[in-house]
Amino acid sequence: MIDDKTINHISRLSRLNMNRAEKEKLKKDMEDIINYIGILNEIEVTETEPLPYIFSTSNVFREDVKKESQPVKAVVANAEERTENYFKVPRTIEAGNGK
Amino acid sequence: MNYETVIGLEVHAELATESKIFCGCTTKFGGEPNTQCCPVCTGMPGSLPVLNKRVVCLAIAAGIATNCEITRHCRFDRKNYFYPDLPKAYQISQLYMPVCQNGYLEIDTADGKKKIGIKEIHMEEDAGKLIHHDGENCTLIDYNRCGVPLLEIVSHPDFRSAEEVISYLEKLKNILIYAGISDCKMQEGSLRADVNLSVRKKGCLKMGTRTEMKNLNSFKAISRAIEYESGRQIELIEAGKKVRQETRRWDDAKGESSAMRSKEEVHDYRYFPEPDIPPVEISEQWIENIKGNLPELPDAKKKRYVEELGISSYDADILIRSKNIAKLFEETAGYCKSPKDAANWITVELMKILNEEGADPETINIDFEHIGKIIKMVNGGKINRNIGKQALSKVFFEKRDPEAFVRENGLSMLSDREEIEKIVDKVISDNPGPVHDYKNGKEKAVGYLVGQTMKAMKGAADPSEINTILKEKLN
Repeated sequence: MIDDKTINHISRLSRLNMNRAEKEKLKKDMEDIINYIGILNEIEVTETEPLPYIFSTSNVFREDVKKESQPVKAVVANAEERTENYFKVPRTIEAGNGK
Repeated sequence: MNYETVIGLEVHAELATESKIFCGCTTKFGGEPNTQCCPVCTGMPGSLPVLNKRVVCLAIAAGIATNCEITRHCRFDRKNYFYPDLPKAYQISQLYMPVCQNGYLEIDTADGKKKIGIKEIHMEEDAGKLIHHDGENCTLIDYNRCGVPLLEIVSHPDFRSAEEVISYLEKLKNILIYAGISDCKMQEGSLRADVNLSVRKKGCLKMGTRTEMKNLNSFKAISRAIEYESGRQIELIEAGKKVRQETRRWDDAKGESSAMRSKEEVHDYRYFPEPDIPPVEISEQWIENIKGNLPELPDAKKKRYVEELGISSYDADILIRSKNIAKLFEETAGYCKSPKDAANWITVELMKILNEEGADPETINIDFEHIGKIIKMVNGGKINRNIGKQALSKVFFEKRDPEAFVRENGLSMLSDREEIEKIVDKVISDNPGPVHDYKNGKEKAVGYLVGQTMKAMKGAADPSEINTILKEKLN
C-alpha cells in the first residue's frame, strides 16, 4: 500500500513537485506496478537461465576519437543552483568520492 | 604480543585515451569546470553510452602485463549509488565478469622475491570532482572527470608491510607507463590507491576486521598511512576494544586518518547487468594481436640488459625504473656503441644531477647524442672524465652541445706532447719552492705541481700523463 508519507518521500528524492491530483494518480500507478511485480514473483524460474540482454548483439564500440563537448551553459542549464560554472548542492556530509 | 599487518590494494589508473569511456568528450586534465561534458557523461535521459574500443584494448594489455587470464565473455554492470559525484546515480563498472582475473606480480622484498596475487582488473568510469566549501556549507561539482576511463586493479590481501606495498606500486606503475596504458601521474590523480588493512596476532589464520583508507595520492602518504593505521588498530586491540569496519580518510598534513562512514555492504549497490552496453566478446586473435604489439616490459628489459649488454643487475634496476631513462640509455648505448659506458654515465653522473635537482626522471628531456658525444670524447682521450662531468651538467641545464662546449672553452686535452712540455716547463720555473722540496725528497710536492699544470691547462689534461712528464723533467 502506497501511503501519503511514501509518495511525499519519493517526490522529494526524485525532486519532482507534484500537486494533490498528480500524487493520487501516482499512488495508484505505483500500486499497480508493485502488484505486477508480485505476479512476476509467482512465476517458476528456477530452471530458467537469466537473460541479461534482450538483443544478441555484442562488441558495439566507438573509436577513441575526441568530439566537441556541449557548451558549458547547456551543461549547467538544469542545475537548480550554481556558482560560476559549478553545480552547487548542499554540502555532502561524507567527504571523498563515494565509491 | 606480535602482530601481523594484512593489506590488500585497490589501484585506480586513468587510461591513456583521447576520449572518455562512453562518449567523445576529451579526457584532458585541468579544463575549466564542466566544459568537458555532454549528455552521455552527465547522464541526461535518453542518451546512449557507446564503449570506447581502446579502453578494452588497454585493459587487455594490462591483464597480459600482469599475468592475468583474459575473460572471453565479459560485460559491464550497473552500480547504483546516490551521491552527487555521478549525475546518473549509478556507475557503469564490472562486478560479475571483470575483463581480467587471477594474475600476479612478482616483487622484490628484503626476504627475496614474493608473488602478489591480482584478483581482478575491471573497467569503469571515473566520477566527477566535488569541492567542499566549509564557509558556505555547500559542495561544488565539476563533472569533467566523469566518464574518464579507469582500470581498477584489485590485489589479494598478500601484503604484510608498507615496503611490500610500495614495491608493488612502483612495479605496477612502471608496467602501466611502459605499456602506454596510463601516464600514472599521481599529482593529477591518474593513479590512486585505496588501502584495505587489518591486523591479527602472528600465526592467527583468521583475518581481523579491516578498514579502507582513501585519499592517498603519493607513495609517501601511502607508506605513512599504513604505519599509522596498523598502529591504531593494534592499540585498539591491546586496549580490549574492537576495530570498526569503516572507510577512513587520510589527512597527510596532520599525519592521521579519520572515519568517513561505515562501509556499505556489496548488495547496497544493487548491481545488475548494464543494459546499455552489449557484452564484450574477446577473441584469442584479439588477445594475440595486443600481446604482439606490447612493448618490451621492465622485467624483460632488465633481463636483456644483463644477459645481452653485460650491464650489472644493480645498474639495470636503476635504468629500468623509468621508461624515459631506459629509452635514453638504449639510444645512448646505440650511439656511442658502448652500453657499459652509457649505463655508467647515466646511472652515476646523470642520476647524481637528477637527485641533486629533485628532477623527475620520467619527464626530463635529454638528447641522447649529447651524452653519447661525451662518452665518445672521454673514451677517445679527447677530454678527461672531469671535463665530461662539466659537459654533462651543461647538457642538463643548458642543452648545450658538449663538443661545442669543449671546443669553445678550449677544454680538449692537448695531444701535442711539445705543447704540454712547454706548459710543464713554465710551471717548474714559476714554482721554485715546491721543485726544491721535491728534489729534497718530498715526493708529495709533485702533486702540487700537477695541480698547477692542470690549472694552467683548464683541467683539459690527463693528470697521470702530467705526473709522468713532471717526474721525467725533475729527476
